[in-house]
Amino acid sequence: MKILISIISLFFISFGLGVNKESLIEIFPADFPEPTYDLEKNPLSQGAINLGRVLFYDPILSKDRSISCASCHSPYNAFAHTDHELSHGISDLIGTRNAPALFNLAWQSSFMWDGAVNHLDVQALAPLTSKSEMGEELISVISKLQNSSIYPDLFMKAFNDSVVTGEHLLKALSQFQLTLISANSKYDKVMRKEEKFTAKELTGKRLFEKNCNTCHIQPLFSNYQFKKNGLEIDSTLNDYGKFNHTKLAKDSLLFKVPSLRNLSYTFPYMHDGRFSTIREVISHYTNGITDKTAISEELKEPISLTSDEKTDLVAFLLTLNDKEFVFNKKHHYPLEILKIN
Amino acid sequence: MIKALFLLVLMHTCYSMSSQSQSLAFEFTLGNQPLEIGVKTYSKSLKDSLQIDAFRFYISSVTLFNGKDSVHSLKQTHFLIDAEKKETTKLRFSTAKEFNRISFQIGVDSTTNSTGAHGGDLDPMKGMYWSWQSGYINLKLEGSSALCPTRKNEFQFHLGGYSYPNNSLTEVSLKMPKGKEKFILIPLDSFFKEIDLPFLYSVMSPGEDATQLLKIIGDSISSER
Repeated sequence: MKILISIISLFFISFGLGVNKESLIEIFPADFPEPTYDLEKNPLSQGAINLGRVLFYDPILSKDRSISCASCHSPYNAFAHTDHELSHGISDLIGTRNAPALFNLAWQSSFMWDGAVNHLDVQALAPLTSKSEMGEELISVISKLQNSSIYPDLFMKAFNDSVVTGEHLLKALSQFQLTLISANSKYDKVMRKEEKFTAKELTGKRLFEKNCNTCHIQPLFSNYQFKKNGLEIDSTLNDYGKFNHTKLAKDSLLFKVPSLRNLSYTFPYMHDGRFSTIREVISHYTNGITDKTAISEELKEPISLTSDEKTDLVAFLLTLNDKEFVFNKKHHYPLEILKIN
Repeated sequence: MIKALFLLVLMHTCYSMSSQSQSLAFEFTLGNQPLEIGVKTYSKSLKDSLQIDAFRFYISSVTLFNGKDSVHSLKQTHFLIDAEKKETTKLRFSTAKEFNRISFQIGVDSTTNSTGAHGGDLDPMKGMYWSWQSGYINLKLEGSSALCPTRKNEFQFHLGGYSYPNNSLTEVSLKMPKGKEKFILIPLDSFFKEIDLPFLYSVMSPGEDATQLLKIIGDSISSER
């Protein structure tokens, strides 16, 4: 009997893997580099993606059932929190960082502005348990989900097991977030020779490649490393970035290089949301850095741009807006999974 | 007759099963008595009354040796040992081979720490995972002592750290007496003797203290009472 069960499950496992391999090809754009996320440890399936999507939009994850992931990572803002410098949590508590946009996460190997989280799977634990975000405990979320009317069934469909576990909860959230891929901006279409840049955009691209390309490398528009970009410390936050968790002097003021895709949807900018326009950000790099000793190598050479050049650079950066990504219904509130009309 | 035969077969099966396996249990003491979680205990050697409310830790890469030769390794890579849950304190080996040394690590290795969500004993729902920063808590020891200048005299040690320079994974290698009853003893008195509770009562993040405290626990482990 045991052998029979093993054979049957082996059949299902190998069949499942076959399906998943196909779906991977669909999900990851051919012209993007190899993703860093190891899908063999968490093979994508529609069931788990659906579960992750329902969880992402469900305030059940927070202590008082008031805040979901989508509260600070709204689909219409490329999963950032437009117009809020710092993110909000339960009981109107305000955090210390600007909620980052969520897309192309499969190519990142560390998370949060300071890199304190080393894998997408375990990222969700930080906002879930942070007192100024969801203020909850994993074990309590698990019991709420197990006792809910919808989740045991969704976990069954996702992992063939209706018992809610931390591992499955986190892997499902990863699966949904892995599907958040932004690869259909005008820039991408020009690269695929489906569209053409205007003269201004093309000039902007040249300026970009001369001045910004070392850190914001194409096609992801970030190297996802940590740099000191010369922002003065905000004395109301005293955020020293990577130093906060490593306690190493060399890591002081290191923050993650964000992608420049979808900038129109994701303002304000920087880890503390101090700039509200792209032009302000560019001006920071041209004239805003006061202490030239406290910056990364890449910025030691001064960047100089005329007003017209800044306009052209912005024109290029706007070609990185991915409207199809932002309006993709597959990423939105899961009406069809929850069968709500 | 058939019944008797069946019984004989059953007994034989049981016997052969037991002869192919052996087990080894963790034992914990405080004040020279078996540790009781949540019970205030006087330790003569420490001249202090302590209460332990939680004592949990991961062990990994368990291998048995006979002389220099490794005779058996446990397939399950990590075990969460919880002094409050007796069923978690026993390691079972599916081998009858004689051994005179055991080696294991206290904690979770760096690869497991950097490869996402895991299940079973490693599921973050077990409460042995930091959230604000990635990484497993290798060992939790919580309780109270009048020596601690804290609210309710509590001490809390959440010890971990997997990356340089604060890799706290701790190697343990223990000689085992041949033939006699074998066990792995953690005498908590030895730990508290080494630390200065009035000054060190809360370690909750990776760092020198965490690594050092795990080493003290590792060094205190013994196979003799």
